Amino acid sequence: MSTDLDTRIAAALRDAANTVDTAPDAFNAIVERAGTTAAPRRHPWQWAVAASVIALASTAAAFLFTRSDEPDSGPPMIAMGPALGVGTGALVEDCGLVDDRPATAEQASRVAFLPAELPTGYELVEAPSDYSNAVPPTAQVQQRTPSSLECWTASRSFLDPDTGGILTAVIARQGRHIRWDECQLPDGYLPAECVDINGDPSGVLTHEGSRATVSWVTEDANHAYVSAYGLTSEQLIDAARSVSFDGTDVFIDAPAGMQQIDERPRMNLYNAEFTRYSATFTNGDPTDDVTLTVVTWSDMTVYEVGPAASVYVNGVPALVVTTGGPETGITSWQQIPGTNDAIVDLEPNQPPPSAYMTWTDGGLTFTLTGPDAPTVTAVAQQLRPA
Amino acid sequence: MGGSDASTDVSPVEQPVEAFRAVVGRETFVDVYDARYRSMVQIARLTTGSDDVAEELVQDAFVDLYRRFDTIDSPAAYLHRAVANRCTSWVRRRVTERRYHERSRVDVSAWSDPDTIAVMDAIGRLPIRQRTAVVLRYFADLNEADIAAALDCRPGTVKSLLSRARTQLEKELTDEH
Repeated sequence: MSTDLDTRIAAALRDAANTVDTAPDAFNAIVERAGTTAAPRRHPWQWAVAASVIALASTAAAFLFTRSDEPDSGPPMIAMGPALGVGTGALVEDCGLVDDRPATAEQASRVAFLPAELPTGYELVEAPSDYSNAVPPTAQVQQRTPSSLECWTASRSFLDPDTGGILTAVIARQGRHIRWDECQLPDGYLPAECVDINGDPSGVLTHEGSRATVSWVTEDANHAYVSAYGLTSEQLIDAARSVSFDGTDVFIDAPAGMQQIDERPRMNLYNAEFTRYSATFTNGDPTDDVTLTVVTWSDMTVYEVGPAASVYVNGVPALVVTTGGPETGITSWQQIPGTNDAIVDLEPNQPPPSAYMTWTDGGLTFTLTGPDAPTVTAVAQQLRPA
Repeated sequence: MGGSDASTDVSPVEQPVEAFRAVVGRETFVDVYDARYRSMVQIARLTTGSDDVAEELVQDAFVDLYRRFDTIDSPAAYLHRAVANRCTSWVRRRVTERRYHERSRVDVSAWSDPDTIAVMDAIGRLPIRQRTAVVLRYFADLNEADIAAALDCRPGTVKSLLSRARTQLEKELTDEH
């Protein structure tokens, strides 16, 4: 059986790989991009691909404040504006290339040690290659190169400690966001409706799972969005209409009972250098894996919305958010295979239960994802500052 | 390969493309491209499940390779690591952003053989690190040390990843019948 399985896997991969085609002008595209470091450009078809990727990632304004803190993704970069209602004149890649290199000893010393103890049944399965308990893990330094575009983001978040509700407002610029003449809602898309936010003709309210998001383009062509869990649509829209931005800070009137848990002034996405490492722990079931990410980037990332609570880790407030699971009723869609942009097959879907936890301490941002709030909290309590 | 002089002190970025073929004593960028580009796209395609994204990610890796070519001892190892890293990042971003793993599965519509579809669908349900390890082992035919280098982990971790992946695949491919 073992040999049969190995043979079967290898044969399937070879067969699947045979269908892969490559672009005939790929070499020239690579050379062209490599030779224009300051402002790399892609061929038109690549822009189309990038657009489709971003459209996929955007999921119709469904996520709250998404940034990528994965390896080689560079400093936080909000995903492009929602596919509905908000257009953009430039794409994420224009915010600069990411340079990735090993951290120096001094830089690595800034990141934290892995947990000394783990929840029952858990063990460390993935860590940087030279990790030991005596020294911090190897870290990577990433820097996004300068861009000709304005690329920045600012946000402010609130939590209702009694209900677990969350509210986050984000103002962002990645190129030039286009104010459409009217709200655009494709048929059969996510539950959505056009809303008027401070006169913007393309404002949209969308619902996905436990989250609702209002998205629009401001008069000065910034992208604004406000997402929440635990608020009525009316409360969310009222809050969105109160959003203002003074060029540095975002302001919003949160519903009564909500307490501010994070604020982030405008921050450029390029020329920012940060160090990161990650590790994964498992109890043998991949669905229970716990992943830890530590970055030298002071930013508490609220990327998914669900019932939330504030807890303390080493005396610092942290946000724990539960997502997925029964009754979340998320609505999903699929892309037509082989195409870049068409979307079909709207269907109800229940994401698996999960949780994440995030906090900022001493200039480091810690993020833990795992199967549930108690598990990630248990790991968090065992982290040791460097 | 072959040729005569070649100004090896000039970075690849500054040289005409064809001049790369004249570099003596080591694999040129063009050689690497010719030998590795399609296989890297295949690895990325099998890992991400998307033709378009695969080529995009591989081109990014080749752009980085191009810029650092003079300083990289093993372009193949560099590409394996760069492509694996980008594929992992891309899939994780999608999962993070959308938070449900089913939607990060490999698109199986391009294949007709029922067993290929079944196996690829099962591979597509693996966590991304396991999926990448499987592709590097069973398609790229890398050994554990090379996979560890590509995934920036210890060989023991690769053994664990492959073992867990294999157990999961065996279960899924058995359960389906």
